[in-house]
Amino acid sequence: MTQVAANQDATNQSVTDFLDQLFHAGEGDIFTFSDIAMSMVMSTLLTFVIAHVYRQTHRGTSYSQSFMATMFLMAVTTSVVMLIIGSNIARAFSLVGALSIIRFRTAVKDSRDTGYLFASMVVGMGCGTQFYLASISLTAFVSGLMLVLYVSDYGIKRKLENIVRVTYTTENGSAGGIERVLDASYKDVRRINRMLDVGEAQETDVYVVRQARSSDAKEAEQRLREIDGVVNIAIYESDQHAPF
Amino acid sequence: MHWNGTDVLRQELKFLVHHSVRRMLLERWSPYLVRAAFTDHAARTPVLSQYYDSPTLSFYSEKQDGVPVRNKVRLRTYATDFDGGKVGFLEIKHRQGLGVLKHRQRISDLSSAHLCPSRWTFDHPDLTAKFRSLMETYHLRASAQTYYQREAYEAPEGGGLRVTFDSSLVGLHPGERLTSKLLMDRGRSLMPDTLFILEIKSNTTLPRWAHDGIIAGELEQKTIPKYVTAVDVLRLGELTGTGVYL
Repeated sequence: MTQVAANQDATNQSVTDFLDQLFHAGEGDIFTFSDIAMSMVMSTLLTFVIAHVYRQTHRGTSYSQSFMATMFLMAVTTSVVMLIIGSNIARAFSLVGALSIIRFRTAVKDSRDTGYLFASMVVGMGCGTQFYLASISLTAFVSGLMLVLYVSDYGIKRKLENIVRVTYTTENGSAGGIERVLDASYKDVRRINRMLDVGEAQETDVYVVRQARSSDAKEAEQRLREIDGVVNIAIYESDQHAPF
Repeated sequence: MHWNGTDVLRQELKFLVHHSVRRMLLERWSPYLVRAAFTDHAARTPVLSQYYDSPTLSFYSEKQDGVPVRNKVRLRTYATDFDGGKVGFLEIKHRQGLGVLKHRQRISDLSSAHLCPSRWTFDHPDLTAKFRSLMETYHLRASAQTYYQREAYEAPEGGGLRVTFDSSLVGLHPGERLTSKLLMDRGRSLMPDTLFILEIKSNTTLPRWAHDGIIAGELEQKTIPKYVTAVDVLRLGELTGTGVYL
């Protein structure tokens, strides 16, 4: 009986050792489950801030929900990758080899998107190496910076350049009157395009004009509307259109 | 219908240029270019294309993913609608890296029936095989239309060099007719008014004068992919639960 109990104890011990080896092999007591959970939760929370700023400041037609999910995936995965690597050089080199089999074919349309992905990866790296303060600082600074750049329209070209589209019926000879009104209301009026008639006996001219004062723009629109034959007018500020 | 296919691999360079750059290039290149034969007095022509794709938009995805060898299938006319009596072209645009191969079936008596792939007929067995292969593999159906205004010039000296500036690019649903209201709708516009898509197409090498213009305009190869942008603007990429667009 004693022998049987001793054998049972030995079996239990070996199972426990096996499980220990399975779940703690390689950790060398460097990190615990709470470390893993903490780094994943922190990277998720910080990426949430970055993703929110990305969504708020996004311009253009290339917005993608899957890109938002990619940012979270990158951050959380990178944080755990950094935990696994720790300070082990062999693991770092192994991961470089292992991760090189992943090939991203999807073209990132906007260089700004690449920046956001990189920021979320760095947040993940910071959380994975438990440099939480660095990650929080980066998130706060990058988010603030991107919001300031967005609000101030930093880097925009030709901010005072407006687009005027005027559609008019061809039989009324309105083109001359339109150009006279634009010349009187704006600076540097240039017709850049004339759209082909689409079977409605109408022409649409596209002008680039330099804005004088906002009150002039409203007055110009009113005077354009009074021209005989003018069907439609649209005035756009140059930054109203999505950038490409 | 007449077989008008060509197996010449053409070189296509595409740039997105500001209207001021377009003006500079036209001034610079005017000694070497003449208005293309099929255009009006201002070298303009309308271009209306009906694109065909699989129910899961495979051609759209291949372009998005940057697959180096890919196809586009379209019915094109140089008019503002597909109504009867016009000339149309059924085309497979086959891209191999930087080169483009176009297989083309001319339709001299275009009608709305030609919009349906099941009604397509071809004069040449080789062309039939190419179209049938894509139709059966991808279960092609009409996905989106694009309309734009093309300003086209060609070099009389030969070499098949063509220079075009595309503007007023609009996305349309299959069967939707272009109106001036749609042309003014910014929700359908695929590019800003101030930009033009410059395309330089050549069967041979690029002449020196064209190269010098590209340098002078500090042009970088970048464009607005017309079909892909139309799919984006029309929100066709928002798939249903079955992975098939509505």
